[in-house]
Amino acid sequence: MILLVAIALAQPFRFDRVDILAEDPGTWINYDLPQAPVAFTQTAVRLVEQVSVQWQLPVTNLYLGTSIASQSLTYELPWKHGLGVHGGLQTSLLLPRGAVLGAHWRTGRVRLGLGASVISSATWAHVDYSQWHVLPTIGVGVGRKYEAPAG
Amino acid sequence: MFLLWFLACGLVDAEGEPRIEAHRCAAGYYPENSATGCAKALEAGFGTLEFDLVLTRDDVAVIHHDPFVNPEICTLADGTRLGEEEADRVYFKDITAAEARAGYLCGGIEVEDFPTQALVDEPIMTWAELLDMIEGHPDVYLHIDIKWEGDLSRPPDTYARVVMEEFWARELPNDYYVSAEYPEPLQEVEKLDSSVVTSWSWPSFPDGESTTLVAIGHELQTTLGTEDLVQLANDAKVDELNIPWQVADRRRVEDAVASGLPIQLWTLNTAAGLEAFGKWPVEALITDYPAGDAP
Repeated sequence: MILLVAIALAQPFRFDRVDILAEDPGTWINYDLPQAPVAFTQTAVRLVEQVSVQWQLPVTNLYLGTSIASQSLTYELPWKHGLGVHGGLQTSLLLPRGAVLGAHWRTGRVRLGLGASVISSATWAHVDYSQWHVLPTIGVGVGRKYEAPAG
Repeated sequence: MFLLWFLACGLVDAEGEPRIEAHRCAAGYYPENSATGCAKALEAGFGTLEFDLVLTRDDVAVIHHDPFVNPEICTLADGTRLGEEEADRVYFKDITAAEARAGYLCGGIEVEDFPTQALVDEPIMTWAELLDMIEGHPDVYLHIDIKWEGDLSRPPDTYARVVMEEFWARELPNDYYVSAEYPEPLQEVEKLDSSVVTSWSWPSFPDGESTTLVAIGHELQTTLGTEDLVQLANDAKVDELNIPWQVADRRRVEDAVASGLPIQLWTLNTAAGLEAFGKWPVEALITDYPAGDAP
């Protein structure tokens, strides 16, 4: 994983979008948002932590996501009318800890995603893959204007 | 409708309900850690009492939250208010139990956080006096909170020995666990008896440091994955963790509990907070309003 990211980062890449609501790790919408009425500040802080800047890599349809909460490598396969599917690896400071997959729709500068995050409890502080969660996720991103693939 | 169902799939409330602990003998009703407060808490039948112990210069355990006589709740015996500057502090490690009890009265000052608290001005209670009260209430779960704060306190091994030996000498049948803000006294308790359940109040908020900055620092570390609840408990050699609700992260708490680490949350003083956090898989919720009438 580290080798792949190193290779990808060795090439120039460009900004694609900011996912205000990111699909990885997907914990904010499932765990933190319900606590908002009693823990508003914490909910807001964790919203910020999961905001993900997505970078388009030189490899076609490959994206690097970077947030405090997660760092991911995702492949997006476009279909038609802006629709597509995606899947990828999510990490905690480059320690693989789960996957993300789903479908998305890109129109103009907006990207909407719907999918699932499969996430473990593994971190560098405690490399433990015994606990897993499958979380439904929603993604809302804003960024570069979408250009439909040629052909 | 689909969206609501979709979003509901990720969160499952824990079965059962956490134990409710009366924080400082239920400071919402009577002065914290007071003889009257603890007596009333026992009379009310609260399931768990939490209280704090500090050691005096002559190694007597007294019931008080801070390593110094707290000027926000105590006065001199003649009613004179204590200075609130750091230089004015009277540390328990520097005075005897007799001086503490004869020299100060606590519980007669209005506390902004507890507007409905009944004021009762009385001497600082000893651990022995509290144990006298607890006898006859075998079903009360005890949360013994050792308030050791490094150089501001007597040595941690002395804390462990004095507190636990006095408790064990009574041979009370009550279930109990021991907590502290730093691992050192808990490790000393474990040396005395490894079967004692110890809970580390994490994170520590060192005196003089901004609690907000400390909390943000730990929030970032746990989010980045450079700190982990199970790793923290393992490194500190404690059995459980006691976490302020403001820094608790539900997913991480769930994972830690599923890994076998019991967790308590403190201090929840609203009805909404108690209800919301009551759905987490935690062992206990600590509150100043254990009667179910939190605002």
